[in-house]
Amino acid sequence: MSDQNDELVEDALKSIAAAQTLSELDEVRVHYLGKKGKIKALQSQLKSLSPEEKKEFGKVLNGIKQSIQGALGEKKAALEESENSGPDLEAIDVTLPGVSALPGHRHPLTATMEEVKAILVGLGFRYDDYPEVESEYYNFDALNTPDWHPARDMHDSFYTTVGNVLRTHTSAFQTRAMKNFGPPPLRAMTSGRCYRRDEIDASHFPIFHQLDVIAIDQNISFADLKWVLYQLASALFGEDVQLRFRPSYFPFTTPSAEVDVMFNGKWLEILGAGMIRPEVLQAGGVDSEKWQGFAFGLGLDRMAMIRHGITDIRLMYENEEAFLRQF
Amino acid sequence: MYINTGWLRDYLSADCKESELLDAFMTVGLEVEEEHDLSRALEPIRIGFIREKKALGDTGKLYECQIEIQKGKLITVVCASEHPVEIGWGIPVATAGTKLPSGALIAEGNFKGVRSEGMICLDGEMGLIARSSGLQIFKDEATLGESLSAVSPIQETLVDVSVLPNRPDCLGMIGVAREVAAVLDMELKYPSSREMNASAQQGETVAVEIDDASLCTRYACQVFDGVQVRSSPHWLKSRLQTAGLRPINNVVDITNFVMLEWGQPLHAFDFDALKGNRIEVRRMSAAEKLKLLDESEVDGAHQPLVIADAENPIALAGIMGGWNSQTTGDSKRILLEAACFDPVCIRTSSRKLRISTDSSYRFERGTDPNDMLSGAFNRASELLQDAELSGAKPASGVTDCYPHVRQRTTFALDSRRFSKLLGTEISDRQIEECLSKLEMTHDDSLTISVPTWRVDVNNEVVLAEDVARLLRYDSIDMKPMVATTTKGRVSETDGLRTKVGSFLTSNGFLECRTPPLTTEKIAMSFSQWQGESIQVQNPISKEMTTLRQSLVGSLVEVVERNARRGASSFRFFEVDRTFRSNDGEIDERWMIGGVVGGAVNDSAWIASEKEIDFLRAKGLVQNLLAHLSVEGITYESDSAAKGYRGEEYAVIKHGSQRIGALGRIDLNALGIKDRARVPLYGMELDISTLMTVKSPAKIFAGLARTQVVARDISIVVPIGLRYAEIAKSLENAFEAAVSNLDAEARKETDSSFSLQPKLESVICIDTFVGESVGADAKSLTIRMLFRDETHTLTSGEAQQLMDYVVSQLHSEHGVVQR
Repeated sequence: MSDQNDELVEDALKSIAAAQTLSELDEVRVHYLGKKGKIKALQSQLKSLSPEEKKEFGKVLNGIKQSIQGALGEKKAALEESENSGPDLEAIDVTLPGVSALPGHRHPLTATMEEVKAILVGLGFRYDDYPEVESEYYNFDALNTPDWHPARDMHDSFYTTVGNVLRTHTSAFQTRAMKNFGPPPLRAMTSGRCYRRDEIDASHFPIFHQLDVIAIDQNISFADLKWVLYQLASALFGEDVQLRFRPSYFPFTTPSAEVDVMFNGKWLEILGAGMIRPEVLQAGGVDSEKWQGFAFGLGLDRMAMIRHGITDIRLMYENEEAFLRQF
Repeated sequence: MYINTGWLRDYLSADCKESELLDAFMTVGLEVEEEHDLSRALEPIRIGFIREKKALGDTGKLYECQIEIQKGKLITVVCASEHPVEIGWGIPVATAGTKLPSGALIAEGNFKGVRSEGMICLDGEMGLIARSSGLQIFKDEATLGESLSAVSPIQETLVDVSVLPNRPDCLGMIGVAREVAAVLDMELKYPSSREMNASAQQGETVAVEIDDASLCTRYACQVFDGVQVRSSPHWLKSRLQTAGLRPINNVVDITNFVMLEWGQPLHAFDFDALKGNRIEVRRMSAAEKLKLLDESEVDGAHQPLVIADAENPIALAGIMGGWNSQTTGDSKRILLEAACFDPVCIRTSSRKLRISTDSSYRFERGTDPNDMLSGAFNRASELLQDAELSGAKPASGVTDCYPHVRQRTTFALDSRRFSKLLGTEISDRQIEECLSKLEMTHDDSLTISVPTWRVDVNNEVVLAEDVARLLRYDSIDMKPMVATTTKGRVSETDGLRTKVGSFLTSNGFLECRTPPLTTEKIAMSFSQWQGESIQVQNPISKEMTTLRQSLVGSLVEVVERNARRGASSFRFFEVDRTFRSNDGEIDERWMIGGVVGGAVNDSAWIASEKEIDFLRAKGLVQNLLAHLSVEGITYESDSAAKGYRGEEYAVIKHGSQRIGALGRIDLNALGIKDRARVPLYGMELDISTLMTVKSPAKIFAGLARTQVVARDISIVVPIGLRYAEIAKSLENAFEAAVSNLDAEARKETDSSFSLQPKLESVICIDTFVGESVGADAKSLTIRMLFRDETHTLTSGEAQQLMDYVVSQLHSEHGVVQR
């Protein structure tokens, strides 16, 4: 009987060693240790034995069981380890591209617009929309640019058949904001489309985008203007941004400045700025003896082009997928 | 305005480096469009030697020259006799194709049958001021083929300055020199004294009458006799040429030169062509006509201001002289005129007559009536009398009509106000020092007197700007803004637009920017709104005439453009305004527009069989609206807006309010060739309406711990019955079923209880149309999810509910269960 038992253990160990997968191994386990397995069959012999024999045979059975269980355990651990590691014909090539719809993209212009806006919101400016179909009054007259003024030549405007002007600059919002929001302090901005009768070329499009800002308080000065512009520029172009302020002329600000940014070794004009003219404050119902402030405006098309290295403004309005997917 | 720095240096008291001079332009605020370093810009100009020369034609004005431009290579150049040339001379040659600094391109020409392959370049034509004879001549054959700048060192720059409209005083060399000198700490060197020589009354007298002193501030004239009209000396010609003016004769050249120098236009009439020793400055009468120097004729319809003699108009005031009174080679006596006109008057005439000249450009910006005489007129008078020029003699005194003398304006300044405006400490002394550089004077109490050429100084802030720019903007240190705290925020609609953008881009959409000003057809197609179109009265092209009422038309154009480039699936959106007019009220309305079509899953490498259809497009809209917290939306069939196909079109509503549209695009109706070749769906949502219906922050509804019950019913319904109606009935039926529900006994519950199951969701999971259900019916499978919050429903209870619902649907709509 003990020979038979040795043989059983030997066979069991062989089968265990031969198992290639966890399921094969499980078959082996069932074959020996299952409800109808070989060990159960041996146990059934116990009934017919005397108490002493029972005791002895019990020990033997336990020995057999332990050696099979031990071998099964070891083999199981080994198989698990090998199934969870190492190359396998059925493993996925994880470097294949994921399956999904192609991603969407924001337009570089609106992305730039939102970025600039977010910076300014952080500096306490409120954003609101203002009309694009504007009156000549808000677009020009209120900005110290009466009809006869040669500065109007700088803006070749579109007029609607009912006599409105399509705003030639977002600065048209300035006195509207002053009137809307009552007495200062005020920090306001707007952005969006502007229209001028420019011939289309690589740097001109008759419809373009600007962002305009005003800040009015009792002591807001040219030095504050410079500070705000540095905050904006460093957020857009990096902490070590260099700006250059050149005297310039806008009918609605004095002193006026053109501001250039040093970008890739070159000075590039990015915005116009200045202290709001007393005439403009008055047109907005603000007492210019008591309040003062600054205004600045920037061309978003140009800003987007500089930041993304876009060389032709027309590309931004053609909306070719190959273009839009690059941003 | 082109400025040659060599010429500008005539008016500067000290020398400086070229680079310092150029920097000064920018520092002081003169806008430099372009700088041409002439030594570099003239690199392509080579020294050629004249080997042959013969007269061309018999006018004696043209010569045909053979010029050797490199060893053994000859070209033919036809030259005018403006400057004599001789065989054996080396001269600067620009071959055809060369671009001169002024921007002029030398082209091949044909003169009397002879092909000219280049040009002999005079100094002025190259933007240089003349060194000697106006043409640089080289005798050393070693220079053959060399670059001009290599053999003749050039230290001049041609600067293209754009003078901003507020500073007409800088439309002359003296004004520019004054500004530049101020930042370079130099003095401005006037070219002549500004004292009028009292000339004795001689011979002629000319009466001047100004009709309306508000239109002509000052008018001065003087007769000169013994004028020798001839070609100007080279120094003068080349200076005119550098500024882009063509030399004509010494008299005209002098008036032009002085204009370039002082910014004050002048005119010289042939005195013998004038009638009655009398000048009138008046409006032209409707019946009068005047032939101008450019041989065009104006009439008096707009009643422009004119200069007239005793009988007729002789010049369009401030704009252009008359043909009949011009100075010609035969003129013996001339009348030199200087005037100062009302800028608005000149601007109005110039605009109405559509004539703009160097003269009108200056007058409409404003000239100085004081320097007009003592500066410009005086200088021209000196030059006319110069023997080298015309050798003329005054033949009358100066008639000077100046009804209201323009005084210098004064401003009592306060340095504290300047300090507050600029944000840096400015002292009285700094203000005085800066402003005196601009020839402003001051008294002890900082009252500043401003020269009359500064027509822009109408407010003390302009003087603050002058101080700031002379101290240099860069010297004002920025400082963190200390001001009342204000609330930074975007508007609610702008916040919603940002959300829309991020949702749609997350769903594979590409954002577009298309022009709102478009063709009338595109502007009006897809519009679902009442209202008139807004047209532009002065469009620049047929492509941009009308402000659009819908975004979809422009996006369809984007699809077509991309289809031409080979794209086969499309997801484009734009968020922008649309425009219409309601009884003259402009309505600017923000919209979300989208166009989709093609593969549902357009991933690059695993093809998808499925294409976007109406329901998939609707799914996108539904998810977008859910993302924006807009609930209670219905989709209704309606007559389609132009551009959509009626059978696949829905108007999107919230209650009775229309918030948008969704539909299949009808390219045929738009007359567009279908390049996309897949069904395209357009959608448009009105943001301003969305703003009014979107839900506030959502309230937590609690979490049910009981199990949800799912039941599907498959029903056959009449084909015309809409799903929305069935779903509505089903919801009503369920509610009725709940009130009739008998709860089954439960082990754990001893006390009585009632069940209030709620229908959580109704979704259609399958539709089927086919023979097996009959021609006028369709089959639907609808999944219902419901639960009671306190007790998990038993299958018996669920069955009770379903049985009731089915019987209710049957009695209401004749629906049968499959």
